Amino acid sequence: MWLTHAKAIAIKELIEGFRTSWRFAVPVVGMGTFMSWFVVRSYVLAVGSDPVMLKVAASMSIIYMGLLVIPFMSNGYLVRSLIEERQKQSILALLATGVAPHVMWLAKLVAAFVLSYLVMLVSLGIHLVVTWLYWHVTPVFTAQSVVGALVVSPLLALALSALMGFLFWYFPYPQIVGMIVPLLVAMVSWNYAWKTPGAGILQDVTLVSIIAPVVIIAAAAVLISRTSRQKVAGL
Amino acid sequence: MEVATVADPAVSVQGVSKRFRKIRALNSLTFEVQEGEIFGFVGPNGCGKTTTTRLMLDLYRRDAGEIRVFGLDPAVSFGQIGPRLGVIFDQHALYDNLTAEEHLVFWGRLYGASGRKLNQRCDFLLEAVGLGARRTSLVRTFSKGMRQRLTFARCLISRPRLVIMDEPFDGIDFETKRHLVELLRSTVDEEGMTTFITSHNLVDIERLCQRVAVVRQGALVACDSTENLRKMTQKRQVLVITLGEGTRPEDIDSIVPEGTYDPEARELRVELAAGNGPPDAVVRRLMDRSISVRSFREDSATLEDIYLSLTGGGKAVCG
Repeated sequence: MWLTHAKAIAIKELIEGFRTSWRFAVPVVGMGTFMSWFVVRSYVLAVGSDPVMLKVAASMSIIYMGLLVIPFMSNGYLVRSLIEERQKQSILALLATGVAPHVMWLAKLVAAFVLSYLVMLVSLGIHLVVTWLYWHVTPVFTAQSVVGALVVSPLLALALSALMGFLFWYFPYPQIVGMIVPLLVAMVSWNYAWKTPGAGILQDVTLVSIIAPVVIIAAAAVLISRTSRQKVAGL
Repeated sequence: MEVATVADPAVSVQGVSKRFRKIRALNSLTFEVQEGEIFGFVGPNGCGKTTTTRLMLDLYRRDAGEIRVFGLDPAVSFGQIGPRLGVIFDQHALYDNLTAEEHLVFWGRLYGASGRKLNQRCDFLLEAVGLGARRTSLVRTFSKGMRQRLTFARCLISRPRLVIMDEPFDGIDFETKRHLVELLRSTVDEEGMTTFITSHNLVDIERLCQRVAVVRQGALVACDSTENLRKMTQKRQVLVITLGEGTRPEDIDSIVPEGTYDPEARELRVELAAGNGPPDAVVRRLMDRSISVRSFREDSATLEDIYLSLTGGGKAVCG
Protein backbone atom coordinates (compact mmCIF):
# COMPACT_ATOMS: atom_id res chain seq x y z
CA MET A 1 0.00 0.00 0.00
CA TRP A 2 2.86 2.40 0.74
CA LEU A 3 3.88 2.33 -2.92
CA THR A 4 0.32 3.25 -3.99
CA HIS A 5 0.35 6.15 -1.54
CA ALA A 6 3.81 7.31 -2.58
CA LYS A 7 2.97 7.14 -6.29
CA ALA A 8 -0.29 9.06 -5.88
CA ILE A 9 1.34 11.80 -3.79
CA ALA A 10 4.39 12.11 -6.08
CA ILE A 11 2.16 12.48 -9.17
CA LYS A 12 0.04 15.10 -7.39
CA GLU A 13 3.17 17.00 -6.32
CA LEU A 14 4.58 16.92 -9.87
CA ILE A 15 1.35 18.27 -11.37
CA GLU A 16 1.28 21.08 -8.80
CA GLY A 17 5.01 21.64 -9.21
CA PHE A 18 4.87 22.00 -12.99
CA ARG A 19 2.04 24.52 -12.63
CA THR A 20 3.60 26.65 -9.93
CA SER A 21 7.37 26.20 -9.77
CA TRP A 22 8.28 28.04 -12.96
CA ARG A 23 8.05 31.37 -11.14
CA PHE A 24 10.65 30.11 -8.72
CA ALA A 25 12.63 28.25 -11.42
CA VAL A 26 13.30 31.29 -13.60
CA PRO A 27 15.43 33.18 -11.02
CA VAL A 28 17.16 29.95 -9.98
CA VAL A 29 18.15 29.18 -13.59
CA GLY A 30 19.32 32.76 -13.95
CA MET A 31 21.37 32.54 -10.79
CA GLY A 32 22.94 29.18 -11.75
CA THR A 33 23.86 30.45 -15.22
CA PHE A 34 25.27 33.70 -13.88
CA MET A 35 27.42 31.95 -11.25
CA SER A 36 28.67 29.42 -13.82
CA TRP A 37 29.62 32.27 -16.16
CA PHE A 38 31.95 33.53 -13.45
CA VAL A 39 33.39 30.04 -13.02
CA VAL A 40 34.26 29.81 -16.73
CA ARG A 41 35.64 33.33 -16.56
CA SER A 42 38.03 32.28 -13.81
CA TYR A 43 39.11 29.30 -15.97
CA VAL A 44 39.69 31.57 -18.95
CA LEU A 45 41.88 33.79 -16.81
CA ALA A 46 43.76 30.79 -15.40
CA VAL A 47 44.30 28.58 -18.47
CA GLY A 48 43.03 30.76 -21.36
CA SER A 49 46.37 30.60 -23.17
CA ASP A 50 45.99 26.84 -23.65
CA PRO A 51 42.86 26.22 -25.80
CA VAL A 52 42.81 22.44 -25.16
CA MET A 53 43.15 22.88 -21.42
CA LEU A 54 40.43 25.55 -21.53
CA LYS A 55 38.02 23.15 -23.29
CA VAL A 56 38.62 20.51 -20.62
CA ALA A 57 38.25 23.08 -17.84
CA ALA A 58 35.02 24.37 -19.37
CA SER A 59 33.64 20.86 -19.45
CA MET A 60 34.39 20.53 -15.74
CA SER A 61 32.45 23.74 -15.00
CA ILE A 62 29.19 21.84 -15.47
CA ILE A 63 29.72 19.55 -12.48
CA TYR A 64 28.78 22.29 -10.02
CA MET A 65 25.43 23.15 -11.55
CA GLY A 66 23.60 20.49 -9.52
CA LEU A 67 24.85 21.97 -6.25
CA LEU A 68 24.07 25.51 -7.38
CA VAL A 69 20.52 24.82 -8.54
CA ILE A 70 19.00 21.71 -6.92
CA PRO A 71 19.20 22.77 -3.23
CA PHE A 72 17.43 26.06 -4.03
CA MET A 73 14.73 24.47 -6.12
CA SER A 74 14.02 21.39 -4.02
CA ASN A 75 14.19 23.18 -0.67
CA GLY A 76 12.01 26.00 -1.93
CA TYR A 77 9.48 23.53 -3.23
CA LEU A 78 9.52 21.36 -0.09
CA VAL A 79 9.14 24.35 2.22
CA ARG A 80 6.23 25.73 0.23
CA SER A 81 4.57 22.36 -0.14
CA LEU A 82 4.75 21.55 3.57
CA ILE A 83 3.68 24.99 4.72
CA GLU A 84 0.68 24.90 2.38
CA GLU A 85 -0.30 21.40 3.52
CA ARG A 86 -0.25 22.53 7.14
CA GLN A 87 -1.91 25.90 6.61
CA LYS A 88 -4.77 24.46 4.57
CA GLN A 89 -4.93 21.37 6.79
CA SER A 90 -4.80 19.13 3.73
CA ILE A 91 -2.09 17.27 5.62
CA LEU A 92 -4.81 16.21 8.11
CA ALA A 93 -6.88 14.77 5.26
CA LEU A 94 -3.81 12.94 3.97
CA LEU A 95 -3.00 11.50 7.39
CA ALA A 96 -6.67 10.50 7.83
CA THR A 97 -6.40 8.17 4.84
CA GLY A 98 -3.77 6.13 6.67
CA VAL A 99 -0.79 7.45 4.68
CA ALA A 100 2.37 6.99 6.75
CA PRO A 101 4.13 10.32 7.38
CA HIS A 102 7.48 9.02 6.14
CA VAL A 103 5.88 7.84 2.87
CA MET A 104 4.37 11.31 2.42
CA TRP A 105 7.77 12.87 3.09
CA LEU A 106 9.56 10.54 0.68
CA ALA A 107 7.04 11.13 -2.12
CA LYS A 108 7.39 14.89 -1.72
CA LEU A 109 11.18 14.62 -1.73
CA VAL A 110 11.17 12.52 -4.91
CA ALA A 111 8.85 14.96 -6.69
CA ALA A 112 10.92 17.95 -5.54
CA PHE A 113 14.11 16.24 -6.76
CA VAL A 114 12.64 15.37 -10.17
CA LEU A 115 11.49 18.97 -10.68
CA SER A 116 14.84 20.34 -9.52
CA TYR A 117 16.75 17.93 -11.75
CA LEU A 118 14.80 19.16 -14.79
CA VAL A 119 15.57 22.76 -13.84
CA MET A 120 19.24 21.79 -13.51
CA LEU A 121 19.20 20.31 -17.03
CA VAL A 122 17.73 23.55 -18.39
CA SER A 123 20.39 25.53 -16.52
CA LEU A 124 23.14 23.30 -17.92
CA GLY A 125 21.85 23.78 -21.45
CA ILE A 126 21.80 27.57 -21.08
CA HIS A 127 25.25 27.52 -19.47
CA LEU A 128 26.73 25.56 -22.40
CA VAL A 129 25.15 27.90 -24.94
CA VAL A 130 26.47 30.95 -23.04
CA THR A 131 29.94 29.40 -22.80
CA TRP A 132 29.93 28.76 -26.53
CA LEU A 133 28.53 32.15 -27.53
CA TYR A 134 30.32 34.42 -25.01
CA TRP A 135 33.65 32.67 -24.40
CA HIS A 136 33.78 30.90 -27.78
CA VAL A 137 34.67 27.67 -26.01
CA THR A 138 33.22 24.30 -26.96
CA PRO A 139 33.66 22.05 -23.93
CA VAL A 140 35.14 18.60 -24.44
CA PHE A 141 33.06 16.31 -22.31
CA THR A 142 34.74 13.53 -20.39
CA ALA A 143 33.18 10.67 -18.47
CA GLN A 144 34.21 12.48 -15.31
CA SER A 145 32.47 15.71 -16.19
CA VAL A 146 29.30 14.01 -17.41
CA VAL A 147 29.02 11.67 -14.40
CA GLY A 148 29.92 14.55 -12.10
CA ALA A 149 27.25 16.83 -13.58
CA LEU A 150 24.43 14.33 -14.01
CA VAL A 151 25.00 11.92 -11.11
CA VAL A 152 27.49 12.94 -8.40
CA SER A 153 26.54 16.57 -7.96
CA PRO A 154 22.74 15.93 -8.08
CA LEU A 155 23.10 13.09 -5.58
CA LEU A 156 25.01 15.32 -3.16
CA ALA A 157 22.28 17.92 -3.62
CA LEU A 158 19.65 15.23 -2.99
CA ALA A 159 21.38 14.31 0.28
CA LEU A 160 21.24 17.93 1.33
CA SER A 161 17.62 18.27 0.27
CA ALA A 162 16.74 15.13 2.23
CA LEU A 163 18.43 16.54 5.30
CA MET A 164 16.65 19.86 4.93
CA GLY A 165 13.34 18.19 4.13
CA PHE A 166 13.70 16.18 7.31
CA LEU A 167 14.34 19.31 9.36
CA PHE A 168 11.26 20.97 7.85
CA TRP A 169 9.09 18.40 9.63
CA TYR A 170 10.39 19.74 12.93
CA PHE A 171 10.32 23.48 12.25
CA PRO A 172 6.85 25.00 12.03
CA TYR A 173 8.22 27.95 9.98
CA PRO A 174 11.16 26.64 7.96
CA GLN A 175 11.36 29.41 5.33
CA ILE A 176 14.51 31.01 6.74
CA VAL A 177 16.42 27.74 7.17
CA GLY A 178 15.18 26.68 3.74
CA MET A 179 16.79 29.71 2.10
CA ILE A 180 19.99 30.14 4.14
CA VAL A 181 21.29 26.58 3.80
CA PRO A 182 21.04 26.33 -0.03
CA LEU A 183 22.65 29.75 -0.24
CA LEU A 184 25.59 28.58 1.89
CA VAL A 185 25.97 25.40 -0.18
CA ALA A 186 25.86 27.36 -3.42
CA MET A 187 28.48 29.82 -2.17
CA VAL A 188 30.83 27.07 -0.92
CA SER A 189 30.57 25.00 -4.11
CA TRP A 190 30.91 28.13 -6.25
CA ASN A 191 34.04 29.17 -4.37
CA TYR A 192 35.42 25.64 -4.81
CA ALA A 193 34.58 25.72 -8.54
CA TRP A 194 36.53 28.96 -9.05
CA LYS A 195 39.72 27.65 -7.53
CA THR A 196 39.92 24.27 -9.18
CA PRO A 197 39.89 24.63 -12.94
CA GLY A 198 39.80 21.15 -14.44
CA ALA A 199 40.48 19.50 -11.10
CA GLY A 200 38.04 16.71 -11.83
CA ILE A 201 36.21 14.81 -9.16
CA LEU A 202 37.75 12.51 -6.66
CA GLN A 203 36.57 8.93 -6.31
CA ASP A 204 35.90 9.65 -2.64
CA VAL A 205 33.43 12.37 -3.58
CA THR A 206 31.63 9.98 -5.92
CA LEU A 207 31.36 7.40 -3.17
CA VAL A 208 30.13 9.98 -0.65
CA SER A 209 27.56 11.25 -3.16
CA ILE A 210 26.06 7.77 -3.39
CA ILE A 211 26.24 6.84 0.28
CA ALA A 212 25.14 10.19 1.74
CA PRO A 213 21.63 10.37 0.26
CA VAL A 214 20.96 6.70 1.02
CA VAL A 215 22.03 7.05 4.66
CA ILE A 216 20.30 10.40 5.20
CA ILE A 217 17.04 9.33 3.52
CA ALA A 218 16.93 6.03 5.43
CA ALA A 219 17.69 7.68 8.78
CA ALA A 220 15.18 10.49 8.14
CA ALA A 221 12.47 8.04 7.08
CA VAL A 222 12.96 5.99 10.25
CA LEU A 223 12.87 9.08 12.46
CA ILE A 224 9.81 10.52 10.68
CA SER A 225 7.94 7.21 10.98
CA ARG A 226 8.46 7.51 14.76
CA THR A 227 7.26 11.10 14.94
CA SER A 228 3.75 11.64 16.31
CA ARG A 229 1.10 12.36 13.70
CA GLN A 230 0.15 15.45 15.70
CA LYS A 231 3.65 16.89 15.23
CA VAL A 232 3.73 15.97 11.54
CA ALA A 233 0.41 17.75 11.04
CA GLY A 234 1.74 20.82 12.86
CA LEU A 235 -1.12 20.74 15.40
CA MET B 1 -2.36 -6.85 15.25
CA GLU B 2 -5.82 -6.00 16.59
CA VAL B 3 -8.85 -7.94 15.39
CA ALA B 4 -12.32 -6.36 15.17
CA THR B 5 -15.52 -8.34 15.76
CA VAL B 6 -18.81 -8.10 13.88
CA ALA B 7 -20.65 -6.82 16.96
CA ASP B 8 -18.38 -3.80 17.41
CA PRO B 9 -20.06 -0.39 16.97
CA ALA B 10 -18.61 1.83 14.26
CA VAL B 11 -17.30 4.24 16.90
CA SER B 12 -16.99 3.71 20.64
CA VAL B 13 -15.71 6.48 22.89
CA GLN B 14 -15.51 5.46 26.55
CA GLY B 15 -14.52 7.89 29.32
CA VAL B 16 -12.11 9.84 27.11
CA SER B 17 -10.34 12.84 28.61
CA LYS B 18 -7.91 15.24 26.99
CA ARG B 19 -6.09 18.30 28.31
CA PHE B 20 -4.06 20.92 26.48
CA ARG B 21 -1.83 22.19 29.27
CA LYS B 22 -4.23 23.95 31.66
CA ILE B 23 -7.25 23.69 29.39
CA ARG B 24 -9.48 20.66 29.82
CA ALA B 25 -10.84 19.92 26.33
CA LEU B 26 -12.65 16.65 27.07
CA ASN B 27 -13.87 15.35 30.38
CA SER B 28 -14.68 11.64 30.53
CA LEU B 29 -16.64 11.71 27.28
CA THR B 30 -18.65 8.58 26.47
CA PHE B 31 -20.82 7.73 23.45
CA GLU B 32 -21.23 5.12 20.74
CA VAL B 33 -22.12 5.35 17.07
CA GLN B 34 -23.76 2.27 15.56
CA GLU B 35 -23.03 1.03 12.03
CA GLY B 36 -25.23 2.66 9.38
CA GLU B 37 -26.32 5.46 11.70
CA ILE B 38 -26.16 9.22 11.05
CA PHE B 39 -24.93 10.61 14.34
CA GLY B 40 -24.84 14.31 15.22
CA PHE B 41 -22.30 15.69 17.67
CA VAL B 42 -23.30 19.22 18.63
CA GLY B 43 -22.15 21.85 21.06
CA PRO B 44 -20.98 25.46 21.22
CA ASN B 45 -17.63 26.54 19.80
CA GLY B 46 -14.72 25.34 21.93
CA CYS B 47 -16.63 22.51 23.59
CA GLY B 48 -14.39 19.71 22.26
CA LYS B 49 -15.98 18.65 18.96
CA THR B 50 -12.85 19.01 16.84
CA THR B 51 -10.72 17.48 19.59
CA THR B 52 -13.00 14.43 19.60
CA THR B 53 -12.76 13.97 15.82
CA ARG B 54 -8.99 14.40 15.91
CA LEU B 55 -8.73 11.79 18.67
CA MET B 56 -10.78 9.40 16.52
CA LEU B 57 -8.29 10.03 13.70
CA ASP B 58 -5.21 9.57 15.90
CA LEU B 59 -4.19 13.17 15.31
CA TYR B 60 -4.15 13.70 19.09
CA ARG B 61 -3.30 11.29 21.86
CA ARG B 62 -5.89 10.92 24.62
CA ASP B 63 -4.95 11.30 28.29
CA ALA B 64 -7.47 8.72 29.54
CA GLY B 65 -10.26 6.46 28.32
CA GLU B 66 -10.66 4.27 25.28
CA ILE B 67 -11.56 4.94 21.64
CA ARG B 68 -12.47 2.21 19.16
CA VAL B 69 -13.27 2.72 15.49
CA PHE B 70 -14.63 -0.51 13.97
CA GLY B 71 -13.36 -2.20 17.11
CA LEU B 72 -9.79 -1.02 16.58
CA ASP B 73 -7.79 1.47 18.60
CA PRO B 74 -6.80 4.38 16.28
CA ALA B 75 -3.61 4.94 18.28
CA VAL B 76 -2.51 1.38 17.50
CA SER B 77 -4.14 0.39 14.20
CA PHE B 78 -4.85 3.55 12.28
CA GLY B 79 -3.29 2.01 9.16
CA GLN B 80 -6.25 -0.43 9.10
CA ILE B 81 -8.87 2.20 9.97
CA GLY B 82 -7.83 5.02 7.60
CA PRO B 83 -8.71 3.29 4.30
CA ARG B 84 -12.30 2.83 5.53
CA LEU B 85 -12.83 6.51 6.35
CA GLY B 86 -13.98 9.59 4.50
CA VAL B 87 -13.17 12.80 6.37
CA ILE B 88 -14.12 16.46 6.08
CA PHE B 89 -12.30 18.92 8.31
CA ASP B 90 -13.45 22.40 9.25
CA GLN B 91 -11.18 23.79 6.53
CA HIS B 92 -11.61 22.69 2.92
CA ALA B 93 -8.13 21.15 2.71
CA LEU B 94 -7.97 21.43 -1.08
CA TYR B 95 -5.03 22.14 -3.39
CA ASP B 96 -5.44 25.45 -5.24
CA ASN B 97 -3.40 24.37 -8.26
CA LEU B 98 -5.23 21.13 -9.03
CA THR B 99 -8.47 20.92 -10.98
CA ALA B 100 -11.64 19.42 -9.47
CA GLU B 101 -11.13 16.25 -11.50
CA GLU B 102 -7.44 15.95 -10.56
CA HIS B 103 -8.43 16.19 -6.90
CA LEU B 104 -10.79 13.25 -7.11
CA VAL B 105 -8.34 11.18 -9.16
CA PHE B 106 -5.61 11.90 -6.61
CA TRP B 107 -7.72 10.89 -3.62
CA GLY B 108 -9.05 7.87 -5.49
CA ARG B 109 -5.49 6.72 -6.24
CA LEU B 110 -4.57 7.16 -2.58
CA TYR B 111 -7.26 4.59 -1.77
CA GLY B 112 -5.89 2.23 -4.42
CA ALA B 113 -8.52 2.90 -7.12
CA SER B 114 -7.51 3.31 -10.76
CA GLY B 115 -8.59 3.03 -14.37
CA ARG B 116 -12.17 3.12 -15.65
CA LYS B 117 -13.80 2.49 -12.26
CA LEU B 118 -12.07 5.51 -10.78
CA ASN B 119 -12.98 7.69 -13.76
CA GLN B 120 -16.62 6.61 -13.53
CA ARG B 121 -16.71 7.34 -9.80
CA CYS B 122 -15.17 10.80 -10.42
CA ASP B 123 -17.72 11.54 -13.16
CA PHE B 124 -20.59 10.45 -10.93
CA LEU B 125 -19.48 12.49 -7.93
CA LEU B 126 -18.66 15.64 -9.92
CA GLU B 127 -22.14 15.54 -11.43
CA ALA B 128 -23.71 14.72 -8.04
CA VAL B 129 -22.16 17.76 -6.36
CA GLY B 130 -22.95 19.98 -9.35
CA LEU B 131 -19.37 20.53 -10.51
CA GLY B 132 -19.56 18.57 -13.77
CA ALA B 133 -19.19 21.72 -15.85
CA ARG B 134 -16.20 22.94 -13.80
CA ARG B 135 -14.28 19.66 -13.68
CA THR B 136 -11.21 21.09 -15.47
CA SER B 137 -11.16 24.39 -13.57
CA LEU B 138 -8.43 25.01 -11.02
CA VAL B 139 -9.70 25.02 -7.44
CA ARG B 140 -8.24 28.49 -6.87
CA THR B 141 -11.05 29.84 -9.10
CA PHE B 142 -13.77 28.20 -6.95
CA SER B 143 -16.13 29.94 -4.53
CA LYS B 144 -16.46 28.76 -0.92
CA GLY B 145 -19.62 26.79 -1.74
CA MET B 146 -17.97 25.09 -4.72
CA ARG B 147 -14.98 24.17 -2.60
CA GLN B 148 -17.26 22.59 -0.02
CA ARG B 149 -19.06 20.63 -2.77
CA LEU B 150 -15.70 19.33 -3.95
CA THR B 151 -14.74 18.45 -0.38
CA PHE B 152 -17.90 16.33 -0.13
CA ALA B 153 -17.06 14.57 -3.40
CA ARG B 154 -13.51 13.94 -2.18
CA CYS B 155 -14.83 12.51 1.08
CA LEU B 156 -17.07 10.04 -0.78
CA ILE B 157 -14.61 9.00 -3.53
CA SER B 158 -13.56 5.77 -1.81
CA ARG B 159 -17.10 4.64 -0.81
CA PRO B 160 -16.11 4.95 2.87
CA ARG B 161 -17.71 2.84 5.60
CA LEU B 162 -17.49 5.72 8.07
CA VAL B 163 -17.69 9.40 7.19
CA ILE B 164 -16.44 11.90 9.77
CA MET B 165 -17.44 15.49 9.12
CA ASP B 166 -16.25 18.38 11.26
CA GLU B 167 -18.57 21.40 10.80
CA PRO B 168 -19.36 20.52 7.17
CA PHE B 169 -22.09 23.15 6.76
CA ASP B 170 -20.22 26.03 8.37
CA GLY B 171 -20.28 29.26 6.38
CA ILE B 172 -22.00 27.98 3.23
CA ASP B 173 -25.19 29.28 1.66
CA PHE B 174 -28.60 27.70 2.13
CA GLU B 175 -28.82 26.31 -1.41
CA THR B 176 -25.46 24.52 -1.19
CA LYS B 177 -26.32 23.25 2.28
CA ARG B 178 -29.61 21.77 1.08
CA HIS B 179 -27.90 20.19 -1.93
CA LEU B 180 -25.19 18.60 0.22
CA VAL B 181 -27.65 17.34 2.83
CA GLU B 182 -29.67 15.63 0.07
CA LEU B 183 -26.53 14.14 -1.44
CA LEU B 184 -25.38 12.84 1.92
CA ARG B 185 -28.77 11.35 2.73
CA SER B 186 -29.04 9.57 -0.64
CA THR B 187 -25.48 8.26 -0.37
CA VAL B 188 -26.18 6.91 3.11
CA ASP B 189 -29.34 5.21 1.81
CA GLU B 190 -27.55 3.66 -1.17
CA GLU B 191 -24.22 2.71 0.40
CA GLY B 192 -25.21 2.21 4.04
CA MET B 193 -22.26 4.09 5.47
CA THR B 194 -22.03 5.38 9.02
CA THR B 195 -21.89 9.16 9.38
CA PHE B 196 -20.53 11.23 12.27
CA ILE B 197 -21.23 14.96 11.91
CA THR B 198 -20.17 17.72 14.28
CA SER B 199 -21.81 21.13 14.30
CA HIS B 200 -22.39 24.09 16.59
CA ASN B 201 -25.77 24.56 14.91
CA LEU B 202 -28.40 21.97 15.79
CA VAL B 203 -30.80 23.19 13.11
CA ASP B 204 -28.21 22.32 10.43
CA ILE B 205 -28.19 18.65 11.30
CA GLU B 206 -31.39 17.82 13.21
CA ARG B 207 -33.25 16.67 10.07
CA LEU B 208 -30.30 14.61 8.93
CA CYS B 209 -29.32 12.75 12.10
CA GLN B 210 -31.00 9.79 13.76
CA ARG B 211 -29.26 10.43 17.08
CA VAL B 212 -27.62 13.50 18.52
CA ALA B 213 -25.08 13.92 21.31
CA VAL B 214 -24.94 17.35 22.93
CA VAL B 215 -21.60 18.33 24.44
CA ARG B 216 -20.79 21.11 26.84
CA GLN B 217 -17.37 21.95 28.26
CA GLY B 218 -15.99 18.68 26.96
CA ALA B 219 -18.61 16.50 28.64
CA LEU B 220 -21.74 14.85 27.33
CA VAL B 221 -24.95 16.54 28.52
CA ALA B 222 -27.45 14.59 26.36
CA CYS B 223 -27.40 11.77 23.88
CA ASP B 224 -30.69 10.67 22.40
CA SER B 225 -32.64 10.23 19.19
CA THR B 226 -33.74 13.46 17.56
CA GLU B 227 -37.30 12.12 18.02
CA ASN B 228 -36.90 11.97 21.81
CA LEU B 229 -35.23 15.36 21.90
CA ARG B 230 -38.20 16.77 19.99
CA LYS B 231 -40.58 15.22 22.55
CA MET B 232 -38.76 17.19 25.24
CA THR B 233 -39.76 20.37 23.43
CA GLN B 234 -43.46 19.57 23.73
CA LYS B 235 -43.33 19.66 27.52
CA ARG B 236 -41.44 22.93 27.82
CA GLN B 237 -42.47 26.54 27.40
CA VAL B 238 -40.40 29.61 26.65
CA LEU B 239 -41.05 33.31 27.09
CA VAL B 240 -40.33 35.23 23.87
CA ILE B 241 -39.65 38.93 24.47
CA THR B 242 -39.27 41.37 21.57
CA LEU B 243 -37.00 44.27 22.54
CA GLY B 244 -36.72 47.79 21.18
CA GLU B 245 -34.06 49.09 18.77
CA GLY B 246 -30.58 49.83 20.05
CA THR B 247 -30.57 47.05 22.62
CA ARG B 248 -27.03 45.89 23.29
CA PRO B 249 -26.53 42.10 23.54
CA GLU B 250 -24.00 42.51 26.37
CA ASP B 251 -26.65 44.36 28.46
CA ILE B 252 -29.12 41.51 27.95
CA ASP B 253 -26.46 38.93 28.86
CA SER B 254 -25.87 40.67 32.18
CA ILE B 255 -29.54 41.27 33.03
CA VAL B 256 -30.99 37.92 31.86
CA PRO B 257 -28.05 35.51 31.76
CA GLU B 258 -30.39 32.51 31.54
CA GLY B 259 -31.87 33.77 28.25
CA THR B 260 -30.64 33.66 24.65
CA TYR B 261 -30.76 36.86 22.65
CA ASP B 262 -30.94 37.06 18.86
CA PRO B 263 -29.79 40.63 17.99
CA GLU B 264 -31.05 40.41 14.38
CA ALA B 265 -34.63 39.55 15.37
CA ARG B 266 -34.24 41.51 18.65
CA GLU B 267 -35.81 38.48 20.31
CA LEU B 268 -34.95 37.25 23.79
CA ARG B 269 -35.99 33.67 24.63
CA VAL B 270 -36.09 32.52 28.26
CA GLU B 271 -37.15 29.03 29.23
CA LEU B 272 -39.98 29.04 31.76
CA ALA B 273 -38.31 26.71 34.23
CA ALA B 274 -38.71 26.80 38.01
CA GLY B 275 -35.42 28.59 38.64
CA ASN B 276 -36.09 31.41 36.18
CA GLY B 277 -39.04 32.90 38.04
CA PRO B 278 -42.47 33.94 36.67
CA PRO B 279 -42.67 35.56 33.20
CA ASP B 280 -43.45 39.06 34.51
CA ALA B 281 -40.37 38.96 36.77
CA VAL B 282 -38.10 38.65 33.72
CA VAL B 283 -39.89 41.49 31.92
CA ARG B 284 -39.72 43.67 35.07
CA ARG B 285 -35.97 43.04 35.38
CA LEU B 286 -35.50 44.37 31.85
CA MET B 287 -37.74 47.41 32.33
CA ASP B 288 -36.07 48.28 35.64
CA ARG B 289 -32.80 48.60 33.71
CA SER B 290 -34.46 50.86 31.08
CA ILE B 291 -34.51 48.19 28.36
CA SER B 292 -37.32 48.87 25.90
CA VAL B 293 -39.75 45.92 25.75
CA ARG B 294 -42.04 45.92 22.68
CA SER B 295 -43.99 42.73 23.38
CA PHE B 296 -43.82 39.35 25.07
CA ARG B 297 -45.60 36.02 24.66
CA GLU B 298 -45.36 32.42 25.80
CA ASP B 299 -44.42 29.80 23.21
CA SER B 300 -43.52 26.08 22.97
CA ALA B 301 -39.82 25.40 23.22
CA THR B 302 -38.05 24.48 19.97
CA LEU B 303 -35.29 21.95 19.59
CA GLU B 304 -32.91 24.89 19.48
CA ASP B 305 -34.16 26.05 22.92
CA ILE B 306 -33.52 22.59 24.36
CA TYR B 307 -30.05 22.62 22.85
CA LEU B 308 -29.32 26.09 24.18
CA SER B 309 -30.51 25.23 27.66
CA LEU B 310 -28.37 22.07 27.61
CA THR B 311 -25.29 23.93 26.41
CA GLY B 312 -25.73 26.98 28.61
CA GLY B 313 -27.10 29.25 25.93
CA GLY B 314 -24.16 28.68 23.65
CA LYS B 315 -22.00 30.71 26.01
CA ALA B 316 -20.05 27.78 27.38
CA VAL B 317 -16.30 27.99 27.41
CA CYS B 318 -14.24 24.93 28.23
CA GLY B 319 -12.23 25.31 31.36
